[in-house]
Amino acid sequence: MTGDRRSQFAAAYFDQAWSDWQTYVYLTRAAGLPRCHSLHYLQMACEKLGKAYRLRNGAADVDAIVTRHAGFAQFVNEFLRSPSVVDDYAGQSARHKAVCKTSFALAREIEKLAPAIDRMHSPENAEYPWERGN
Amino acid sequence: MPISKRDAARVLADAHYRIEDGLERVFIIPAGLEDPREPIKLLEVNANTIPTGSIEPIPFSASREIPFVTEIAEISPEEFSKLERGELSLPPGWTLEGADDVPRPRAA
Repeated sequence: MTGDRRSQFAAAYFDQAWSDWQTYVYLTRAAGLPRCHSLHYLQMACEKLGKAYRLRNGAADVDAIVTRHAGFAQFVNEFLRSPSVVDDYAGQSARHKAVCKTSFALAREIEKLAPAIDRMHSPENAEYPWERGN
Repeated sequence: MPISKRDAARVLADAHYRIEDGLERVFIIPAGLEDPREPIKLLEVNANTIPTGSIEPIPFSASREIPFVTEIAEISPEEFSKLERGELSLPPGWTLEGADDVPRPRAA
């Protein structure tokens, strides 16, 4: 890794998120594989994409962002309230509100596929899918 | 006449209240509000967010209606209490002193 550490991390996370996403798509089309494998790649793709975006912040605490699994759901929440998305839904508050609510719930479920997230309430996860015996 | 940064921040805060029922407070951080090179900074207290233990602003690009880069930092009400007790810190350059505590619009 050369140059600005934060920018380099952001680019690396974006590239790997894209690779994880392609693997997710590949695994969803592969016959006979348990679903936990594709879901694991979906979770990793989303986590890295969120990190890549959050690392755009010049004042970002790089070490805090790269070492935590949480943050994707919060990123989605804030992104959906960003100026460009607010513009896109101008005059459609009810629709925008519904999209935000659904997207956040979905993002949170994806985030919880990581074993480190909310283990107390959601022990089931994509990486070690036997916590509840299935 | 182009919209001022302060007015754009208000427009954005009002829009956020309309689309997020859990939003309890929106603060427009005064630091850099008069400096065109600085982004709009919003601290939002959202009962529906997931506490992360830190306050991390995420920058977003300007848009046609909000022609300013905007940083949004979202925290839970519990994290806001910690912030008030000094157990949590705002990002560098952010302060609540003189911040505009935007009330929820009546219709939102």
